[in-house]
Amino acid sequence: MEFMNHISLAFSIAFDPMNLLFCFVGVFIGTFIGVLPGLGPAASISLLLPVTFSLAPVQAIIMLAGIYYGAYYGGSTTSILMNVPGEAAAIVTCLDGYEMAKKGRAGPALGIAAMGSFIGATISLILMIFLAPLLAEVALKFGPPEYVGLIFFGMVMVTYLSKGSMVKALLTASVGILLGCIGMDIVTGRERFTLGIDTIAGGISIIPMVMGLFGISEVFLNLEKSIKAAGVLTEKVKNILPTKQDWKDSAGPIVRGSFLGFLLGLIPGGGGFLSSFASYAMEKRVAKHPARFGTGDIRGVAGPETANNAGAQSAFIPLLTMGIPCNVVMAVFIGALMLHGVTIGPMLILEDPELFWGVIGSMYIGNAMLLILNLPLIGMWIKLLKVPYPLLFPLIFLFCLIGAYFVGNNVLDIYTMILFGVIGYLFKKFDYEAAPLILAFVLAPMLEIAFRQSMIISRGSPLIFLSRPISATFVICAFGLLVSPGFLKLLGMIRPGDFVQRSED
Amino acid sequence: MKKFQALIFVFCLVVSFAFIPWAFSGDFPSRPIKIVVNYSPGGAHDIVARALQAPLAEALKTTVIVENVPGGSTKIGTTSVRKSDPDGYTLVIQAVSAWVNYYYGKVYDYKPWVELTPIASVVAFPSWVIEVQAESPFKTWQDLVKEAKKRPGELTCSGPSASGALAYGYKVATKAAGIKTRYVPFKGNKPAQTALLGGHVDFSITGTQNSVHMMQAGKTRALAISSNGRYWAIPDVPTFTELGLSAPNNGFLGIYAPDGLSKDIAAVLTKGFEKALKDPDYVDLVKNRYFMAPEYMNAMELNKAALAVDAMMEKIKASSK
Repeated sequence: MEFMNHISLAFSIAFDPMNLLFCFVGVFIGTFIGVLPGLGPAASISLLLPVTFSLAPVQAIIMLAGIYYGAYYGGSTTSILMNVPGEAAAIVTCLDGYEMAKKGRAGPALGIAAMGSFIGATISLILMIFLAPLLAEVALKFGPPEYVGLIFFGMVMVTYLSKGSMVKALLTASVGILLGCIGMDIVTGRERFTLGIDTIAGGISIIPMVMGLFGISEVFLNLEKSIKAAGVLTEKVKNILPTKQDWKDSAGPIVRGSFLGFLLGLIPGGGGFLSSFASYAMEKRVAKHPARFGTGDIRGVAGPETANNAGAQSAFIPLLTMGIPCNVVMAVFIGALMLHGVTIGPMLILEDPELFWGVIGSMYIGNAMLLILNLPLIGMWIKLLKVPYPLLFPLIFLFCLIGAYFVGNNVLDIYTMILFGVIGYLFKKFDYEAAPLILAFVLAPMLEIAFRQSMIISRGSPLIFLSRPISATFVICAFGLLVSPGFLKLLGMIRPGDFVQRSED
Repeated sequence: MKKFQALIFVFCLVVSFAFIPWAFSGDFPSRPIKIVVNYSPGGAHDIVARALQAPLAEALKTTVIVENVPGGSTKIGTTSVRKSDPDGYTLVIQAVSAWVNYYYGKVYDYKPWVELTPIASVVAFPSWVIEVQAESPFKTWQDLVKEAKKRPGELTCSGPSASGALAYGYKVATKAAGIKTRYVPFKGNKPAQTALLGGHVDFSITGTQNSVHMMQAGKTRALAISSNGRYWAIPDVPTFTELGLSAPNNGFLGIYAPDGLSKDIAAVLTKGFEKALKDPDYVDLVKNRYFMAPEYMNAMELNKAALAVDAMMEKIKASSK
C-alpha cells in the first residue's frame, strides 16, 4: 500500500507541467552532451547549475538529473556510429556497437541500446521505490562511527575500481584528500590552509573544480587534435527496431544487466562506467560462443547499455538517503542540492517527500522521453556530429567562464576553474584519472568530520570503529580490499583480453 | 564609418555623465540599492532579503537588488560591503550572533557589527531551541541538567559547526546552567538533528524552524527555547529566562551599511526599513513559513543589541580560560 502511495506521489509531481518541461529540457541537453564528445555530464551539470538558481529545487534537480541519465543515452550513439565514446560508460559499447554499424546493422544496435537502457532504468527505478525508504531507515542508524566505516570503505572502492593503475588512483585520491582539508574546520571553527584567501575560507568550491577538470581540460586537449569525421557511419541507419532474433539474444543480457547495474550503482566508485564493463565481461562469460563478442554481437551492446543506465539511476539511492556520492556526478549533485538549500540525508525522504519522490518519478518519465528522443529522432543527433569543432570548443570555454562566475559571483572561482583545467589536462596527458580526486575531495571532509565526531563520542578511543558491528564490517572489508588487489580477478569477473574489438577481415 | 565612431563616442559620453548625478545628488536614493546576502540562495537570510525587496523598493522609491555572495563563513560578502563606497547603495543582511561567534572563532580580524554602520533590524527569532528525541527520558530541561551534573562530561549534544550562531548558543546555555557536556559539531542544522533522531547523541541544539517541524511531526521534544517570552509556534516550551538562566533571548537579522555613511542617508534607510516591515506579505511569509517575528529595531537599538551579544560572548570566553 505504501508502495502505491509512493508511486502516486512520484507521478503526481513528475507530471506537473513545469516539471515535465524541465525534465524534457534536462534529457534533451543530456542527449546533446552525450552525443558530443568532450563535455561529460559532470561538467555540464556544473555549467548549468547557475541557470537553475531561479527554479524551485524540485525542478532544478529534475532537470540536472535528466542531463545525467540523458548523457548515457546519447553516449551510445557516437560509440556505435563513430567508434568514439560520447562519455566513459559508453566505451564498451564501441566494441560491438561499431562493428555492428560497419556491418550495416547500426539501426538495431541503436535500437537495442535505447530500449535496453529504458528497460534497465525501469527495473532499477522499481527496485529504488522499494528499497529507498528501507535504506533511509537503516541510514538513520548510521552514526559518526558507521559513517567512518562506510566512507573509508567507499574511498578504497573508488581507487580500487578506477580505470587505470591503482597507484595512480591512490595518488590522485591523496591530492583530493589534501584539497578537501582546505577551509573551515568545523570542530574548532578555525580556518586551515587558506593562505589568507577569503574565497577558500569555506573550502574550495567543487563546481569550478569539476568544470575545470572535466570541461576545460577537454577543451585544452582538443586544441591539439582534430577529430576526424571520416569514420562516421551516417547513411545506413535504418530498421531501428531490432528483429525477433535480436530480442531473443538480448533478453538475457538486458535482464542480467539491469540487476547487475543496479547493484554496482550503489557502490562508491561504481555507477555507469563500472556497470557497463562488468556487464560486458559477464555476458562474455555466460555466452555459448564468446568468440563472437567484439565482432558485432548485439549482446555486447544490450548488456552494457542496460547496465550503465540501471547503475546511473541507482547511484541516487546512497546520495539521497545517506548523502554519500558514489560517482563524480553525484558529488556535483551534493553541491547542487546545497545551493538549493536541500540537505540530503536519511530525513530527506520524510521532510521533503515531494522532492525525493518527484525526482524519482521524473526519472521514469525522463527515460520514456529519451526513448522517443533517441529512436525516431536519431537522424537529428547524427546531424549534430557534423558541428564544427573549432566553433564548439571556444563556446564551451566561454560558457564555463560564465558558469564558474555565476555560481558564487566570484572572480576567483574562474581562476580556480582554469587552474583545475590545466591540472585536468596534465592528468589526461599522463594517464591519471580525475574521478578519484573529486570523490576523495568530497568524501575526505565527511570522513574527517565523522572521525572526529566519533572521537568526541568515544572520548578518544579508536576501538569504537570495531565495537560497532556496521562500522567494523566496513573497515574489515576495506582492509581486505586493500591487501588483495586481485579481488575481482579472484571472482573471475574480468580477464585480460575481454575487451578486444575484432574486425572480421 | 566615421559617423559610427562618432556615435559610439557620444554614447560613451552620455553613459559616463549618467553616473555623475548620483555622486552629487542630494536626494537619496536615486539608483538601485543592493542587499548582499552572505549565503547561497534558499536560506533564511536569502528569503528574508528577497521578501524585503518589493516593500523596501516601494518605501524608498527605488529598485532593490539582492546579491548572494556566499563563502568564507560570511566573510567574503561582509568584507566586500565594508570596502564599498559608504553611499547607502550597498547593504548587508546578517544574523549578528553568527558574526560575533565568527569573530571569536578568528574568522574575522575586525568586528563587523562595530566597523559597519547599523541601519535596522528586520526580523527577530528565538535564538535556539534545545531538543531531545521524543522517546528520551529527559522530560524537562531540569531532567537533563540533573543527569548532566550526575555524570559531568558524559552527555553529548549535536549542533552545527563550532563557529556558527548555534554553537554560541550552546556555550551560553550550558554555561548558564553550570553543566559540562560534550559538543559534537555537524555540518549544518539538519545533519545535527538527524544524529539526534538516530539516537547518536543525547540532546541537540537547533534553530526554531527545524525544531518546530520536527516537534509537529512528533519526533522530538523541545526542552527549552531562547526567546523573549513564550514562543507562539510552540507555546508549551519554557524559555531560558523562565528556567532562571540569564541567556540572551531573541536572535535578529541586522541590516548594515559601510562605515562612514552620512547620518541623513542612514536615517532615510532606517525609515525605509521601518515602513517596509509593515508590509502584510512580508509579515505573512516571515511568520508563517519561517516561524520568525517581523520585529523592527532602529539603528540605535540594533547597535545596542549587537553589543550585548558581543559582551555575553566576551564573558563566556573569559570564564572558559
